[in-house]
Amino acid sequence: MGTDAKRMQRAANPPYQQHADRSWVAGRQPMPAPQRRTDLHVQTVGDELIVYDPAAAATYRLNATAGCVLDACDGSRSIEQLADVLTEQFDVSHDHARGDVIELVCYFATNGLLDARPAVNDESNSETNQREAA
Amino acid sequence: MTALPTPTARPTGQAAQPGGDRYLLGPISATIDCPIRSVRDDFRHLYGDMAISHLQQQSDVAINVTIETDGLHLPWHPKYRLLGDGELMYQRQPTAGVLPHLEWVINRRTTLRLTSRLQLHAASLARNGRGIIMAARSSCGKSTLTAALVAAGWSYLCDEFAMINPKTLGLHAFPRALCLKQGSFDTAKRLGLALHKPGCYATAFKGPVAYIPPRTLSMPDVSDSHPVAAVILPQYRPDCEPRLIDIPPAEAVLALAELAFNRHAFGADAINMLTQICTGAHCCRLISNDLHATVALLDNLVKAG
Repeated sequence: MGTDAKRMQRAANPPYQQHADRSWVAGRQPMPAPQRRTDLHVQTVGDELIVYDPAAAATYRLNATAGCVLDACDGSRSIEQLADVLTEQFDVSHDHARGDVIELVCYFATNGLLDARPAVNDESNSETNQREAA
Repeated sequence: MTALPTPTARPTGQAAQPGGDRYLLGPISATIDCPIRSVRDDFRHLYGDMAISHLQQQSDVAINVTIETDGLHLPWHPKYRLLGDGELMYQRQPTAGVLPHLEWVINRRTTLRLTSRLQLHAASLARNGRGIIMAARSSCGKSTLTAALVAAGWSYLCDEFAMINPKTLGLHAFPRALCLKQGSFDTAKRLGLALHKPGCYATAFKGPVAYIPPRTLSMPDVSDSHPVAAVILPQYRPDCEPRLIDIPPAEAVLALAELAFNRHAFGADAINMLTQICTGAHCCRLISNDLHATVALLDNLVKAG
């Protein structure tokens, strides 16, 4: 695929959407390490989280599981590692946790709670990035 | 559809104060320039005790009602437009729609002008100095329930706003007339509340409405602060027994945040405020039905809290 074609594809399918359409779940794209936006205001209320997005002036209510995943989305953890975090904190199997993490990351991405350019901890992708940069 | 009694429209009738009548509505002063004598008189009936002279205070909000001159209008059915601070807010209103829309213009301008309060779209009341916020969108029965609570001895803070002081997180009164829809007229009469010209005014959204002046609703001073004892999300269900269902504070925070008029002005601070209020208050969903039983539930809730 040529550079222009890639650019067009990226424009049509921005990073948020890359999360939202789950194409990475099927292995077509490298697994992202989602990173939550740093400007979000997060408030703990009981065992839940209230997240305020100042850019969209939108408010979200997250349960303990979702709050844990959002908190762990620091750009250094892959989906698998986020599932590990979930299994450490809650009594769930890894497969179950992975499914929840995928759902939640999609939800966060769809609502614009993740950074526009998520960090990627996959070697093949970093090679791709280097090639694109060159 | 039943025909409404129409307020007398006299665009060239008795002269108003030059530049309009001025009122001090709690923390907001408003100048109202309206050519319709009956509307001026009715507004004075509702807020006459808050009328002030032009020399007393600068006006925060200027409202003009003007007769429509463009287009084809029958002279015996004049249409009016309402401007808030020079901005066109409503137009093509018949005489019967002017007062309700005048009230809405005041509410909408207040949300913009009053920056010293976090404003929620909710009814607010107080009992023995302790406040409650009843947060719900329109047509959930909160005005009727407010009327019933006032008749049972509660203090009326406001029907449309919960005004929160960002420093104390207390509720303050905001003098707005209690507006009831036609379905509640009989209930209000049974409760002993005096409606002003029921059915004389109407809007396309609410149908015929009636107003109760705030001075008759045992409203405390606007400077009094009432700590929030309960956050109630009411829901009228004719098929259910009245009951209170506890909800997590986070659910209440989210509900209040969605109903905050000027959340943008406070940003994340609004969430902090609402979080503090909801974690310190009793948060519950109210299934309301029979008014007496519902009032008793809320009485017990505030006493117990």
